[in-house]
Order: sequence, then structure tokens, then C-alpha cells
Amino acid sequence: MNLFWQILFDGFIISSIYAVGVVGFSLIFGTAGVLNLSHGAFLVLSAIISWFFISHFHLPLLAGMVVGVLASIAVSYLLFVLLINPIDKSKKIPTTEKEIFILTATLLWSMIIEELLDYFFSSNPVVVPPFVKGVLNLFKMNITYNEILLSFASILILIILWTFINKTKTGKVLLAASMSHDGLAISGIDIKKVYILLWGVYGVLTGLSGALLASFLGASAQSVPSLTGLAFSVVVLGGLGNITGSILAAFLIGYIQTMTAYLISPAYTSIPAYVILVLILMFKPKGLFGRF
Amino acid sequence: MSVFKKIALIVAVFAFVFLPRLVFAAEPINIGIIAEQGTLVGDSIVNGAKLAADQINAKGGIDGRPIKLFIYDDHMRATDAVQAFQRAVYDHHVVAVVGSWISEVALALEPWAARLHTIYITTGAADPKITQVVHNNYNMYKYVFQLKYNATEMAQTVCNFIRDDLVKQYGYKTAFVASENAAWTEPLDAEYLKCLPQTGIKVVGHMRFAPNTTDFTPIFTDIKSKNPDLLVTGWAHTGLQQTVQWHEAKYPFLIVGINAQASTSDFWKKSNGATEGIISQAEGSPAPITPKTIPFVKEYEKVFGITPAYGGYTTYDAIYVLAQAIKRAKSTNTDALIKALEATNYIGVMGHIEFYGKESPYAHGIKYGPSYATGVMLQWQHGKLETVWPPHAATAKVIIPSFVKK
Repeated sequence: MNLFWQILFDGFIISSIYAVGVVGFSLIFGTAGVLNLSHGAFLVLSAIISWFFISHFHLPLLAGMVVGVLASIAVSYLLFVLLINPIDKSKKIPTTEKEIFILTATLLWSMIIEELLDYFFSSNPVVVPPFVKGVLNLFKMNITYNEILLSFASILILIILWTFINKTKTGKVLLAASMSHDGLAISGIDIKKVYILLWGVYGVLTGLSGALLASFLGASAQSVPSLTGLAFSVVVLGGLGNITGSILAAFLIGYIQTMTAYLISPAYTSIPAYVILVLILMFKPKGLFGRF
Repeated sequence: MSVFKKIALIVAVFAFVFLPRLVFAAEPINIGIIAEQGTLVGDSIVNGAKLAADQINAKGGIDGRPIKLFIYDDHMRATDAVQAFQRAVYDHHVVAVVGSWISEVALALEPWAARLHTIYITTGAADPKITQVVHNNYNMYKYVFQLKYNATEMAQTVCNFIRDDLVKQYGYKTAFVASENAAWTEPLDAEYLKCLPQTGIKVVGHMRFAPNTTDFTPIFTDIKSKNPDLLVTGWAHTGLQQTVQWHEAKYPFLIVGINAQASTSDFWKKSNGATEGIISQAEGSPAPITPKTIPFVKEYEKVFGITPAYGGYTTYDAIYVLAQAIKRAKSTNTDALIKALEATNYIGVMGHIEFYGKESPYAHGIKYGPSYATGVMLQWQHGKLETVWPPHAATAKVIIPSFVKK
């Protein structure tokens, strides 16, 4: 019986952290059509910057996180201004090839950030200090209050994002953009302003989730590819661009990994999740929850 | 004074002042350093080499010839390390290559040392296969040396410490062995499973986990369910996440074994102090292991701002061992140098260093035992790295963290 509760709690904590970590990837693809292969680099960058300001300049935890979020927003706009927008506007690149150019550009952007982080902060992982201390002993598990807080913070961020997109006028513009850019133009909405909003929201989202992720799992330049891989897998599983699908898929992968660790072996945590992903790609190419 | 005499005098003065420098600058002794820069241990390898080379050069070099280091980053990849090795030999004409703390990398460099007839001293890789290869085919692999304890010996150090200290002082009876899945931990775990029962400790479980594991909750929950007194470890590629998660969730077992990165103050900072209470084996520590140890650590800290990880101690000693061998051989000829290295008898910062002969199964590994070097056991106590074993080098007694059962 303990095992059941252990899997339930541990799976929930890890899944909610995964969900907040990958939702930005889904948002930016769904809205701007950009498959951002530098997503993992955004998460790690904000985590390391937050840690650096907290550890070296002794900033309070939340202030350090704000610096991390600002760094993430800055890098987000830089990516848009320096790479995505010029490729999008370029007349030399055929329209049919633009997607692959943008994909490659984000991959290179990821490598640049990864190398810079490696150079300045080394490839050793860092851990953002816990937000709260203390342990809850439940069902023979040692659950830290920090994990519980991280989990609730992640869910809260997801609720705020969902409300913003579905219930506010500004957010609905993003939702509309995910459906049709032409429709937006016909409605008289300046697509440039939408992009500015979108990349800003993306920066905030990755900035916050990077610090949350690193408070439990740690972050290093070396974890960039695996985080991008995780985001990619979850989003493909949930249906590309389908935010709700991505969140559900994050829980699915989180729980499969937790069950594997508890029931099979911690040495093979990721393998069953990736096998399922391959099967889904083969038999349900639009993902479990489809593109909306 | 005639013009001719004046010119002769000027030339003589110039020759006296500058000629030694010109000769000195013209004939450096090149040494290649291959390391995983950007990792705590790799950084220490490079820093240890730089410090030793600078000190030797400041005292006039090796018989007047300065050491010139060529440093290569292998990014933890064997392919990069092999390319670096080839570059070191072909382009930079090195006398020897020193470094790497990853056994998979050192094992990949071994055939290249043999093929290119170039001395390679690993100062961080622990797999005993590295020296077993030398023993099995000495003529081919005589170029390879391992200036650090191998994994079997490291496990023996941990077991000896547990027997002398934890079992005697605290009466601990059970242990769970959990190591990262890597080449060096296979012989380590095998020795743990053999030597722990000999110390009176019952092994209640054994686990090997993937080096990319970040969430240790399922692992720690499983270990806790077996109720061990000790968690005996083999961590080098990993270390931070599990250290932090153990500390924050306050699992009631004491962590003792190898947590290689924990031997530097940088690890303390990166873990936000979660390293408190962790006990780890290392090749050296800020303790009076030999009269040279504390001055070395102080100088290292002064120059680099942090204390060295184990690779700093071993590589610092390796450069001195190499320099003395060149001096004794009066040559940089590889065969002469191998003979001189085999005759090493040197008191370094990590202890008394001699190499095993070719008849030993650990041929060209360093001798391990009470009259040589045995390594130390360290513990972070109130933010300070203390040495808790062996008694002659100890700076403090073990402190059991408040949440660990006593």
C-alpha cells in the first residue's frame, strides 16, 4: 500500500515540475510555429543565473529568481530579433524551407548558450536553494516541504497561464494566433505586437520554470540536451501545440518514469517512457490528444 | 679601451645576461595535460599541473629547462581526448601526457600511448583495468602509469575507515551500496561487497543507478525501506543532486564512501552547503598527510580561490614525479624516462609515491599501504573540510548529522 502512495506523491511532484518546464515549448510552437530546440538552454540559463545571484551576490531567493527571469526574457527577445524574425522576413530563403532554417537556428542558439554557460559557470550542476525547509514524513516517504511547494507553484503557474490565455483579452489574441495568423491580420491586430507579447510570456515562463526545476533536480550546461529532449517528447506525446495535451503528457511521462523507478529499477527510469513515445509516433502521429 | 675590446665587453655582458635565458626559452620540456575542464576534478587537474610547473620553473626548471604545459579539454569525450593526445605528440612534441579523471577516457588513451610510444600518466581515472593492461602486456603498454589509487584500493580505504571508526565508535551494523553505473564503479562495488562484511557490516542492498539520474527520491525511498545505517557510495560523475536531496529530505542514513566532487570547496558552494556531514575518500586533503600537503593547499587556494579536488593533489605530484624522473634520467628519451619513473621514490603531497613493478597485477599503479599512501577520509563539518581518517592526518573526529540515526 505504501508503494501506491509513494508512486502517487512522487509521480505528482515530478510530473508537475515537468509540466511547467515544457509548457512554454508547446506555447511557442502552437502560437508562433517555432519548434524551439533551445528550450532546455532557456531553462538552464535562468536556473544558473538565479543560482549565481543568490549564491555569489547573496540576493534573497525571490530576487535571484527575478534576475533569472529577466535573463530569460532578454535571451528570448534576442532569439526573436537576431534569428527568428530575420529568417521569417528573409526573401532569400524559400518559404517552404523557413521552418527548417528556424529549427536549425534554434539548435545553434542552444549550442551557443550551452557553450557560454559551460565556459562561465562550468559543466557542474548547481541547485537553486530550497524555498522552504523541513520534511513531511508520509507513508514512509521523506517528502520535503520544498517539493510540495514546487509542485503547487508549478500548478499555480499553469492555472495562471491557462486563465491568461483563455480568459483575458490579451491572452485570447495568443490563442487566436495559434489558430490563424491571417485571421488575426484581418481582425486588425498587429502581428508584431503579438510576437512581442508571445516571446515575453515565453521568457517569463521558462525563467520561472527553470528556477523551480533546478530547486529540485539541479541544472547544468550538460543537462540542456536532455531537457530539450524531454520537452520535445512530452509535446509530441501530447500533440504538437496542444498546451492541455502537453500538460497531460508531462504527467503521463512523469508517472511512467516514477513507476519504472519504483517497480523495475532506477537504472532504467527513462527507457519505458521513450519506448512509449516511439510507439505513439508510429501509431498515433498526432499525439495522444491531437492538435487543437 | 679599444673599440674592439668595448664591443667584446658588451657582447660578453649580453651573453652573460641573456644567453641563459635564450637557451632556457629555446628548450622547454613540453608536457601535455588532458582534462575535463569545466568539471570540478578536471579543473583541479589543470590547476595542480600549472601550480607544479610554475613552482619548478621559478626554481630554474629541470636542469635549466622550463616546463611548458599544453592543456587540452576533452569535454569528457574519449574521441576528443584521443585527438588531443595525437596533437600533443605530433604538433607539440610532448615528453609525456598527464591527466583525465574518467576511466573510459584513460582506457581509450592507453592504446594511443602504446602506438605513439608516449608516456601517459592518468591522475584521476580509477579503473584497475588501466594497470592490469600494463601487467598483461608490459612491452606494449609500459608507457602507461596510474598516479592515483585504483577503485579496488579506494574501496579498501573506505572499508578500513568504516572498521576503525564507524563500527568501533558508533556500532553501525548495516550498509546499502549505491554507485553510479560507470566503468570505475564495477571493481569498486565488487570490493565493497567483499570487504564490508569483513568489517562486521551486513550489506542489506546493492544498487547501480544511471549517471543521468536527477530525481533520487525513488532510490532513497527504496534504500530507506531496507533501514541501513550507512549508504556506501561510488559517485564521481554524479554527486550534487543526491547530496542535496539527501540533505533536504533528511534521510536517516550516513553517507560514506566516494563522493569525488565533494573534496573541493566549490562543491560546497554549488550544493548550498548540503554537503555538510558527507564523508568521502580522497587522495589528499588540507591536512598534515606529509609536510608538503598543507603548504600546497594554501598556495593552491591563494592562486585559484578554491581548495583542490583529488585530481589537484595527484596531478601536482605527477608533475614533480615526472620532473624528478627527467632529472635522474638526464634525458627526455622515453625508454630512459620509463626506467626512471619506475624507480620513483618520492614524498609528495598525497604521501609516499612508488610505482608497482611489471610483475604486479597493478603494474605502474602507485603502491598502496601504510608505508606508502592510503588516501584520506574527509567530512564537511560546519562548512569546513576536515580530515577524519587516518589518525595521523586527522584534523577532526566524525560528526554524525542530527537527522542520521546514531
